[in-house]
Amino acid sequence: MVELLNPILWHSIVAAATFFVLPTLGEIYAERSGILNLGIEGMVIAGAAGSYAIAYQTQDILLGVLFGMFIGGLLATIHAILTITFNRNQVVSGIGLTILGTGLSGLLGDAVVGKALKGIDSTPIPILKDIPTIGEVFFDQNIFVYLSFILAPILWFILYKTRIGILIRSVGENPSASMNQGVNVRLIRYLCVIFGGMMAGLGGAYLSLGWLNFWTDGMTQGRGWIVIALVVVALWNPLGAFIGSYLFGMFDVLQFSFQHEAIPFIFPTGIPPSVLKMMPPVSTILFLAIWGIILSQQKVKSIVGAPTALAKPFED
Amino acid sequence: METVLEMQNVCKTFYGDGVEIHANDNVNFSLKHGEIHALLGENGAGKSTLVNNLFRKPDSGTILLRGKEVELSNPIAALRHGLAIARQDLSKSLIERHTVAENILSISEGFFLSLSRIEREITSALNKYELGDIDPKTKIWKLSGGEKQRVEILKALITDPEIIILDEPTSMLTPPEIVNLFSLLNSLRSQGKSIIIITHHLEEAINYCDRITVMRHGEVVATLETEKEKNAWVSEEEGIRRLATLMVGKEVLYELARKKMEPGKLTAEIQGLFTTNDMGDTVVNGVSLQLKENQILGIAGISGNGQQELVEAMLHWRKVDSGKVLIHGKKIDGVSIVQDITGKSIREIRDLGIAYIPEDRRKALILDLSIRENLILNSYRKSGGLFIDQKSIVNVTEELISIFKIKTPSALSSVRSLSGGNRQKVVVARETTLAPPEGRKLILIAENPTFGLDVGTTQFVREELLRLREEGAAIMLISSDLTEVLALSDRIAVMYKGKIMGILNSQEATREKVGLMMGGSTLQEVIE
Ligand SMILES: Nc1ncnc2c1ncn2[C@@H]1O[C@H](COP(=O)(O)OP(=O)(O)OP(=O)(O)O)[C@@H](O)[C@H]1O
Ligand SMILES: [Mg+2]
Repeated sequence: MVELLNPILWHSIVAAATFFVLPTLGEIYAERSGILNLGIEGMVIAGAAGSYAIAYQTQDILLGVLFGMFIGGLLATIHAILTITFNRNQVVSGIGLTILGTGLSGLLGDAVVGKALKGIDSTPIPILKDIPTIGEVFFDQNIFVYLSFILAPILWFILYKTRIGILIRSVGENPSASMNQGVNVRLIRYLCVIFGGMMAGLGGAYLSLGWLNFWTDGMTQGRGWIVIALVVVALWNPLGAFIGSYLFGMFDVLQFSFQHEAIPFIFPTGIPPSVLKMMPPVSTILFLAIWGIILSQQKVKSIVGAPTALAKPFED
Repeated sequence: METVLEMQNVCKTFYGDGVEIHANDNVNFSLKHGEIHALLGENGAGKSTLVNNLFRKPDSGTILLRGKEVELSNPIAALRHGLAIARQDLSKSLIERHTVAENILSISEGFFLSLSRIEREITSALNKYELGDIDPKTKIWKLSGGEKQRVEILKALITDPEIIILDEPTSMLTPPEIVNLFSLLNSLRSQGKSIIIITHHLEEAINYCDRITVMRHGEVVATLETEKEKNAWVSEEEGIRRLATLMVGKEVLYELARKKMEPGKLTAEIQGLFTTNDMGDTVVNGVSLQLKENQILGIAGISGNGQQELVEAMLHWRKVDSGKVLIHGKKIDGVSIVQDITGKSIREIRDLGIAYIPEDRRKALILDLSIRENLILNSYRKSGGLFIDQKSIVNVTEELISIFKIKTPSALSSVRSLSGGNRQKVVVARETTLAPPEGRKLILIAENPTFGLDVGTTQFVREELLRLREEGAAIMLISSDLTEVLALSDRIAVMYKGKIMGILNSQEATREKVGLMMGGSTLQEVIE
């Protein structure tokens, strides 16, 4: 039996979950403003390659991270121009972005495939790290992980307690109504989409520099797509981003631990890796289905759910 | 008096399906300092388009503010120049999922959002303007139509504008609320504000406005000084007739001929119905009613007394907590068949020949589909087979468009491109022509069917209802317009706080009696 209470296991779950948290937070902002960006996968992978390449060349991790964010933001800007300024279809543009980002990652990362680089060390937090188990799991991590702990509540606060937050939510709910009150709908959407791209780039940088410490083509293994689903699971709430992300972080890690587990009658010789690999996508679909049923209730719909204007073209 | 706002040779053209719609064709309009100026016209005359030009540039023409040419290319610019508007289409103006306070963004400032400060400001503004009790913490979707309209008006006034534009602000208000609104406008006028108000209630223009501009087919046909005209008119009725003639371009008949008819057989029945509103409060408290063929049953009441929920529960838009809705079928072997439709699917209910004109047009229209597609939403299944019989649909829809005078270049234009009143015509056209199954007569449930319609069309729809009644239809008419209920109904049930206060027949129903019962008096109290 897998040692489910093993702190080391949970330590790696936190590390895996952090990867999901960062881009999910960004996409929540983009979608809250009404723009669906399906290009997460592309922005993440280009961010991962770009940041690793720059960090390797300059031997400066911080520069690498910043470059990853820049790449993510740049790609998102393309999406913003197409969908906000020119009112193009958001789904098509987003998928195009993924293809572009994946291509770009091959180019950026070409020189550093398989090259080793010392990534980011963990920085244990004094005092907190000494809490039994919890300290080991949560407070002996690297700076990215702490950043995700801090960012989620900050972004929640901004969204719900500040003026810019209510503007973002208004724009995503009803752009005409917002515009009629003098809100610059386009500007707010641009900012949110670009911020979303930078967060995706940051997630990519974490993937290659903070978590797995290498770069190879296609290393995201489609995790960027999961982020799209996580936004739904999070109910477009930055704090909710944690719930889904940790769940999927768990699947991500446990699929390796369960490989040698035998289940009587079904898999007497151990669960085949192919089945375990299916866990994240299958559970995503399950989750979305359950969520979909709950959210489709009229009464619930008027309280929570997708921003009303999400992915709808807006022409004043 | 000094002119504060002037629009010169303003043009605005829309393009739909290759056809140009000249919504505003060289319009000249001026607003004087400290006046209330009414803007009248048929549905689709271009009234909303004209005032919207102040918040987005028109195609051509000049806009002068206090004699100086300005460019008002977006709402922000207009706001800065001291203009504010309460819009006709609230779905484009209010955010349903946000609270009242969150909807009034224009008074928020700084980085942090102090909702409690905004809420306080809203409450004090509501009191100051006497716009009634609305909790700023309520979500918009929980408000009634009239409450939403008052929020929209407040949203315009709270920025303390010099020029106030109200696009059909009274369409969902009760008579006392309308009186209140105009006394508010009066006091704003005496503070030197200038006001443009668009309305289909011509008596409002005559009684409260200093000048009246009438539009027809995208052009201004006349601007009148109300006081001067009043001297020439012998009565308010004559004034209304004159204005209507100007709007339509020809005489409009104002008499409704309600033939005397014996009530037919019982066709639908509501028994002890209870239901709750979206917040979970019981708002329909044991309502029992009977619908008979050849009869119009009017439901009078101030909106928000459970009428809407009652209808929704009847038609399965809302869960019935207890009680029944029965449909009486034809007699077989001397026994009449009774069908319980409580909780049946909407399709089963509609297949029995029950038509519904909802108050909220969004429940009845798919804005992005064409007019033709919206007109056949009820009947497309009848064509049978896999494909839609295009030819008959084309004929039927062309006929409806011409009978109901739906103002559009083509049946293929989207409903979204229609003016508010013309959208309503699409709903009325479709629902009143619903064909009941063999051996049944139409049952029509109409909620404020003339809401947002111009005088001519209002008259037309009312005549339609009377014609249907003569053909045998049983009609339930829910209306907050007392005049309409009194003019059309054979029996009038008055609803107050979810209960029926009593049912009067058309001989005994007077404006006073019904009015008292709408305020909570029982039938006994009123008769004594
Ligand atoms: N966005 C649009 N696209 C195409 N046509 C439009 C659009 N907006 C308005 N129109 C057309 O312009 C004309 C004038 O519309 P407008 O909304 O100004 O009428 P209105 O006088 O306000 O009518 P109502 O009393 O029904 O509100 C109508 O024929 C309408 O169909
Ligand atoms: Mg209008």
